[in-house]
Amino acid sequence: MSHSINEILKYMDRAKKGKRVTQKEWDYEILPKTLKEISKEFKLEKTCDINNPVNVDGDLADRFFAAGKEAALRLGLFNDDTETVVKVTEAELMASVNGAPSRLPIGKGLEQVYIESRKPCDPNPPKFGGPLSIQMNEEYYVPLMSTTLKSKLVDIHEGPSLDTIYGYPLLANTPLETAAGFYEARLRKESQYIAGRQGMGNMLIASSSTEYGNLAAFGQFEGPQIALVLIPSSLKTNYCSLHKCIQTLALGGYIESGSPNMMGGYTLGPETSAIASIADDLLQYSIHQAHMSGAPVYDLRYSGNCGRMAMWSQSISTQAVARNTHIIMLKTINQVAGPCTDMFYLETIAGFTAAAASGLSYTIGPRAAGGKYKNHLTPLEVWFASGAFKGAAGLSLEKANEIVKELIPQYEDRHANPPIGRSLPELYDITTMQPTEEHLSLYLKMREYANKLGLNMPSDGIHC
Amino acid sequence: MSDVLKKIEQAIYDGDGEASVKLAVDAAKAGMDPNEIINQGGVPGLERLGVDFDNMEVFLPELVVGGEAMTLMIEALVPYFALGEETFKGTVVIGCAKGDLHDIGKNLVATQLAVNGFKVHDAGTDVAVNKFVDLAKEFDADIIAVSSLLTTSAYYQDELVKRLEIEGLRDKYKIIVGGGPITPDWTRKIKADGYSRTAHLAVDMCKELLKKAGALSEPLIYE
Repeated sequence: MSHSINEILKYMDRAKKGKRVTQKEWDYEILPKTLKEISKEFKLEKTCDINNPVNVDGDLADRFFAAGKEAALRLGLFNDDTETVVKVTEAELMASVNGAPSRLPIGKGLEQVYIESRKPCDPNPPKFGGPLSIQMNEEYYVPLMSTTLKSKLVDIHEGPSLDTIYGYPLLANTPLETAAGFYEARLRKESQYIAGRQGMGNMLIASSSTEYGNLAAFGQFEGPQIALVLIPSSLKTNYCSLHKCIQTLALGGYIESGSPNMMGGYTLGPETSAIASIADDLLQYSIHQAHMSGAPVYDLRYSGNCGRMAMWSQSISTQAVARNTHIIMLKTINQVAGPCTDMFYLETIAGFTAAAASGLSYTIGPRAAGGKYKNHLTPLEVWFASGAFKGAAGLSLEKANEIVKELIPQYEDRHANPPIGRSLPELYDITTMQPTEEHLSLYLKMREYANKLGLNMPSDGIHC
Repeated sequence: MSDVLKKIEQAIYDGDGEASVKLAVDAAKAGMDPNEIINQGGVPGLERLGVDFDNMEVFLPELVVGGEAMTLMIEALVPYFALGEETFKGTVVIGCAKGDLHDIGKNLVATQLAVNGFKVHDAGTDVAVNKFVDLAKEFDADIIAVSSLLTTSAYYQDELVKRLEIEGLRDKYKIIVGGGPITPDWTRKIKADGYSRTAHLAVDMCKELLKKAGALSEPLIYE
């Protein structure tokens, strides 16, 4: 058995002996109270500057890192299944973080790419996996993905997700999830073959969030793939996640794990949510033996993070970790507007510029229409998001801040009721997979706008 | 507003259940109408919490604690209501669908309903269809509220509607649905009775649903 699996078993054993608390105590008392105390102790209260959504103060980011590390040590992770807390020592925490990879090869042959750790203002373009797990009709999967993957802007294949298998509703925690793992893996291979992208890396599996789908899909690909170990809320673990970690390690894959930190929710405001995000990033390397961490910050009011407060919170937490460690971070950028709307493009430029300049290594996206509406995704949103992410590499934090300050006022008043845009069959001819003139024209216009703002949008290899 | 109502407002805002109960009971003993205590003392405290929540000045934990203080206060005032007067507007069984552990939205709705005079029985997360049915029977619920963030668990909302039809109970309970992937179209498709985009709107929708008899042919949509 590998050392990593042994470590997971050690922490599972520790969970049995950990302090017993209820989920309610954790969510409503222990977590918020501890974050508030740490924010005060490190003098971080009221440091969020909504007029400058991209942090430009390196010293402040370092103070946040120290606070996040303290939160990781004081809190640990709450195990939902045992209702106990799993704590780590400082030596364990730092050994796992210092021992984490800074560069991971994924994919084979010409499709091999390296996901690498980045620093703020890093000129090395980040990697992009796409699209996010937006639900699609079964019959659209292959047309959508075989077209989307034709652009090399997509480094790694992630979504979309299916909510039926051969017409049967995909019910959680049933054998349908296992079937979904096999089925989606087959559709992925078919799409990659048609697109000429055989051998590309995968992030598995979009249609099932449980260990059933993970295990089914992992056996279908050669070479290391990335497992998505997503925990429902801040600073938690559970047996489902630990199942996935052990499966992934045993099958030679990479673990990406973490949880979203909902600003306005249990992690409170922008400063405390940033502290929680940093703690969450750090703890993944010991308790989950992660190869990369994913602890984004979302604003509970609109379930996105392209507004001022959430962007600031995500920006400073990304910078804090990037400046002080070499770990690989994945944080999603959640748009709420849908395909073929100006707001989608404006949110995308702002969110991905802030992320790339702050030192994010890798992301998956986009989350068109907040991921809420079935079939609301086309190849153009995926290519644009990746283009903006890569095109913002090398920007100074000051320049990135200037760009987002121009963009946010153009859409922030629409966050509460965003335009959902249109669906794939409304924006593409499904037979030829060509976009409508209106859809393509807006895409090209917004690429030009992004370039004018100071990004260096790479070619999509298809339309421009 | 009297001094005591201002103090009750502040106690609810601070989530101080003990203080809000003592102040409310003392006021009721002194002859103050319990409806006035709730509507002019407690409700303004919750409204302030709601405004401050929208401005990111208070957060979900404070909202929940404030809601719990309000519930305690309403329960303490029950003996002071005139005979036959309804204290609670209705009973709701709420939970996250089977396979779903994402509870933040569900907790927000539960809190908003509780503080607005509904008796709420929170079944938690990962709740099986049959458990929803059993709890609705046990608590004589008016409404069953099912939250789902995952598409794979959203199907259990549909299963619940069908299960109630099979058991001949569909007209007995209103079913409302919500969560990330849930849309008005989905609500219509599964023949649920209501959908609201936000927790705040869910309160108005539930009040409206209580006025209607049986399962609805067209759901109430609050966007």
